[in-house]
Amino acid sequence: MLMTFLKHEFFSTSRKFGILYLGIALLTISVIVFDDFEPIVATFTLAFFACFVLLIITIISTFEKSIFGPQAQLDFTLPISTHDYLIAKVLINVFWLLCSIAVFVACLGAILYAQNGLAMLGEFYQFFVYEMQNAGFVLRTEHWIFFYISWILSFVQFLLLISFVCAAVHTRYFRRNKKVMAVVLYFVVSFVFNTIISLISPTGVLVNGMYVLRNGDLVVSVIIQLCAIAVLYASTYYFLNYELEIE
Amino acid sequence: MTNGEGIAIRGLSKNYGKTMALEMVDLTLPKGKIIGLLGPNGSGKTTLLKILSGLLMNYDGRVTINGHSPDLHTKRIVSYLPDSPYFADWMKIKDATRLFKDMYPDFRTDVMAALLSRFELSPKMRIKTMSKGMKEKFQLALVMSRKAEIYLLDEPIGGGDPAARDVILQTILANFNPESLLLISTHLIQDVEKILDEVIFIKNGRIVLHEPRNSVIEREGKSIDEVFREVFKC
Repeated sequence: MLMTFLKHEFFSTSRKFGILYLGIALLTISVIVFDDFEPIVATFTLAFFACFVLLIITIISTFEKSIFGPQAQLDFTLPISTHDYLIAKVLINVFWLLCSIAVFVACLGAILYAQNGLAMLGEFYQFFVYEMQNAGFVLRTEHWIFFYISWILSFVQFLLLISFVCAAVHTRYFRRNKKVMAVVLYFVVSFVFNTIISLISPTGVLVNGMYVLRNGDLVVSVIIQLCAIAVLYASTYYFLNYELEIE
Repeated sequence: MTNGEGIAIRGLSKNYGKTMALEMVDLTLPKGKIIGLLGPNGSGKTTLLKILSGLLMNYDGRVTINGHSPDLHTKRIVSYLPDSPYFADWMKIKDATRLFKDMYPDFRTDVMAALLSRFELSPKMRIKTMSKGMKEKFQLALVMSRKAEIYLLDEPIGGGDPAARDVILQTILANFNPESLLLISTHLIQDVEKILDEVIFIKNGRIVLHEPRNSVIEREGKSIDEVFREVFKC
């Protein structure tokens, strides 16, 4: 039933993302075409980045509506296990996140290629694969794949935190102002998790003014993230399976 | 109950904070019957149906459907009609039909097509463009197109005009599997009582009556609607 439910989740969410991707593609073409006309390029570039933010918001709102909205009465009476339900929700949103990143990177690459050809494209590739600048110090990883696995796990953790919060407020412990309580609970749980994770996570070593995250550090970070994901998953599963109250 | 067939409820209580929605409910509902769950608004009908359908998981007491607590197994054999629309507005009837066909092996596509024709609904209609009555008929068609063992219908005739109610009741009777259990909740007694085998009166979360319909009529010498009005008069 997981694959069947995944198929329908894909079908029900693809409409929104298809429209957004089309919008981003049109903006990309506009930026390339109006290359010499600065105000339009600036506007379209801003809109281009706004679309990416909108994509993230769409992922979250679609996820949230399926638990808060009338659709919850449908989803929770379908003959799928709670495990399949949670896994499907996380998988489909990770899929759309990766698709959105691919679309964004492809469109940005197309703009840069149109402006400066392959040379610019090479630097663009270097930026994404090898280096990331963040708040004034540079992180350099020995193998970028661990960095991006960690990044995807962060998103899974974020999704499960949303699902945990949505599930928690649909129990007997929260009777009123569910959406407000969900937001408060999100920030409280987020703060607690991030505090614990930051205390036990490795931060890398300082080498010639740069923080270097060694492979071992990243592996430890990934393990810590997996533990956090397991805790959130188990808690969400418990609420959905034993405490659920859909009104 | 032999062989765990039908619904067995023992000592069921459910509260929302200080409000007791259900209190010490004991019911045995065998298959092969059409049973009316009758009570005024706020009496606990929807709460009971939501517990049976698996939408409310936290309660006291014991509930079994064919010997299983409400879980994945019971969701496969229970066909639930909520009292409000539960499909996304952007969907078309054919999208919802495909979902039910894929998720429920007991879904009958030919019955669905016939019901849509009877209700004058097109598979290409978008739910957003449908009236309240059309949405109710569409959801009823989906639910009754399943050859389920248990049907739970929450206010299936709540929004329709008298003519529409007759069509809905005839549809329910025509597509109801005689070996199944059909539990209908409503406060429109006059329309539905003629199809009922048994009646349950629920008041403030408590069961005040559970008897065969004919027994009540013979004993009281009145229709179920008249008895209901006496029991629930303000």
